[in-house]
Amino acid sequence: MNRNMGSTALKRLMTEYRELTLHAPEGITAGPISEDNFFEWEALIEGPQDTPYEGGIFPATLTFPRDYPLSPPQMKFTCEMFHPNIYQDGTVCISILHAPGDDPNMYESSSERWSPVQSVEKILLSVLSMLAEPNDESGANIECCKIWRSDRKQFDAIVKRTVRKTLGL
Amino acid sequence: MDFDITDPSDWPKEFGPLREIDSHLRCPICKEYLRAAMMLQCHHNFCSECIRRHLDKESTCPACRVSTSTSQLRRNVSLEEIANNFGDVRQLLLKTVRESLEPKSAPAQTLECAESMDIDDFTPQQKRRRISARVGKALLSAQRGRTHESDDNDHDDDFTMHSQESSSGRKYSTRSSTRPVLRSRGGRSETTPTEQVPNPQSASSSQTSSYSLSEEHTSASEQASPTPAKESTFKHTLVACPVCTMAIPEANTNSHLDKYCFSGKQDPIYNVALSVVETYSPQAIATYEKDGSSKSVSLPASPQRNTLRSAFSSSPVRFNGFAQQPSKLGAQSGAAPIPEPKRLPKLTYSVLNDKQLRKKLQELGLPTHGDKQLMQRRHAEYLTLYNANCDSTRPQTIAQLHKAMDNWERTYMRDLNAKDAQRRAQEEQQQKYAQELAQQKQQEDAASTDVTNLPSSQSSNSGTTGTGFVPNQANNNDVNVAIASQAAQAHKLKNADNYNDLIADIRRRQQREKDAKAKAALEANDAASAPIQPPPQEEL
Repeated sequence: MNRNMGSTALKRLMTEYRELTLHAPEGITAGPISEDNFFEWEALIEGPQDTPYEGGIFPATLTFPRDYPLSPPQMKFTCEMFHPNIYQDGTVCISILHAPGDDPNMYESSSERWSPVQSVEKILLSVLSMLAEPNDESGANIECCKIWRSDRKQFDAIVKRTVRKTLGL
Repeated sequence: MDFDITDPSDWPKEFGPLREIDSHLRCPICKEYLRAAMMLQCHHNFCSECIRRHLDKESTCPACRVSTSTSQLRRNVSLEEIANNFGDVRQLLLKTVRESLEPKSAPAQTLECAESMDIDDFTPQQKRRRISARVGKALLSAQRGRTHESDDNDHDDDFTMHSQESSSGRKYSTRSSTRPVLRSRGGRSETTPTEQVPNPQSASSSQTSSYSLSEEHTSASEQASPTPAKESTFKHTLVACPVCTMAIPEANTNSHLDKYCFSGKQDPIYNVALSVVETYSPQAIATYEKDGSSKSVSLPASPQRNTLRSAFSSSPVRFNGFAQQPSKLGAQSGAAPIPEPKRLPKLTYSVLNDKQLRKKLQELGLPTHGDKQLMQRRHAEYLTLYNANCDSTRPQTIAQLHKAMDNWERTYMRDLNAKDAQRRAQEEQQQKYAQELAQQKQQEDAASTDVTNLPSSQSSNSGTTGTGFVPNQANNNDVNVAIASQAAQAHKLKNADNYNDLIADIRRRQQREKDAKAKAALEANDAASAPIQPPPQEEL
């Protein structure tokens, strides 16, 4: 019964993978990129309905630390994403992905931060709701924030363009 | 994969309460059955190891974020026992549950339908009771089919459960006397599940309900003495014998007195003091266990006593410290209790120098190589493992802990090396990139100097050929200069474009490679999970 850190993380990730494949929430698919490395996952997120992201399928990678679930994973979209809370390189900036220790924006209450009882599923669901409702208080993409705040039509147009791009149209 | 991944959803959805039980018995951090369950002030439970690791990082409850610390951790022994036992019995229970759902013959199926229908009519609590009664019975019958040894254990368990039920009153009754209550709650369907169980032994519920104590008792009396100790005797009130103060059935008082007390012998069957039977609570067991050595002088060991004892001690096993399983306790009843192992204190690493830390590690029998950071990590890791082990009712030996530490050391070093390699690769890539950049710049510089050299030489020529007014030449020269500078600019621009193109090209190529890899992996992934879940539709 060896339960050192690596194996705890591995087992937990396997459990979560199993859960996600058996009972996948709508609009989300996730799993390890290869069975050899359970610490790198690929996720596909469907754009939520009634948002400019509707119809898009956005690929992202999740990178888990060795001491998962004590520390949160990192999430990065591998496609072009135009969203106030997503950095230009695709890194997602939401509170559930931040450990209570580090607060890049100094605004998040600790209640919505990462804790070991959270899971991949919860992260992806949070990202889904983030796509539907951007949080302009914590801008990761300032340019996008400005447009989102001032010119919603332009924002929608840009997003729709990126959505078409991700679909290869 | 060499891991056996279990999940609450393994239980059929008809057995919703079992799913609930399963998920409640899991640690929210590692998602496995609670090992050495620890409760926080906020009443959330976690594995000892998991919560200790978490509290090393931050001092809040992972579930509700109330601030807390390791000193506020309390063992939740009964929850741990439940989790342990549920984990032990899981496979068997799952098999039984699944079998019970398999359609066997037409009548069985209709029965089941009828049952599941009326289950829906009941309140959740009633449902739960009925289902657990059914499963428990199925399980019981399944276990009865196993070896004799495990059969004995079952008796112990039944006995424990039973005496707990009757602890409030003086009734020392058998299962058959308490069963009717349950049965009346369960209603008519109580008998139906037994018919679905493949084991014919349990066909009649009355048989199941009354077998436990009577069988145990007769086997005990067979071994010890020919005293007639029938099932019926246990139904009577227990009283203290006026002479030896042991708990005896009221009706047996005279025969007990005549046979044993007045002749100076000890009753081989009724040799447990009434006070022990009556005040049956964990605390009482604790004192009983602790005083065990002194009592065993006055109470010679007998089969009956042993079963009682092991039944009593099935939950509070702590006194015995490391490396003892609950089932072995009965056999070791005479052994002096080993004191509870002490937790290791945390160290303030910042005030310790390398030498002191090395000494601390040496005291614990741990390796002392490496720099301070490694030693610190090693010590912290061992502290977590050791203290979590202290909390467990199924603790490992120190040797096992050291083996786990060896494992940790290996993974730690491997991770470290992997990180090193990654960093080195990154550095190399950066260097390569910088070199490429430098080369590019050199080329560009060389090109631009070529171009700029040309007009300057021309202009110097023009300077030497005519100092006076030579409009044509001057004009020519001017045009030449203009063309040259334009060319130079164009060249520069072109170069710059080239340079940007190159970088973009490199990036694009990297991205393409990455995409292709991700795609391939994803496809493989999708193909692997295809039977469970179709891949998402890519087209609109």
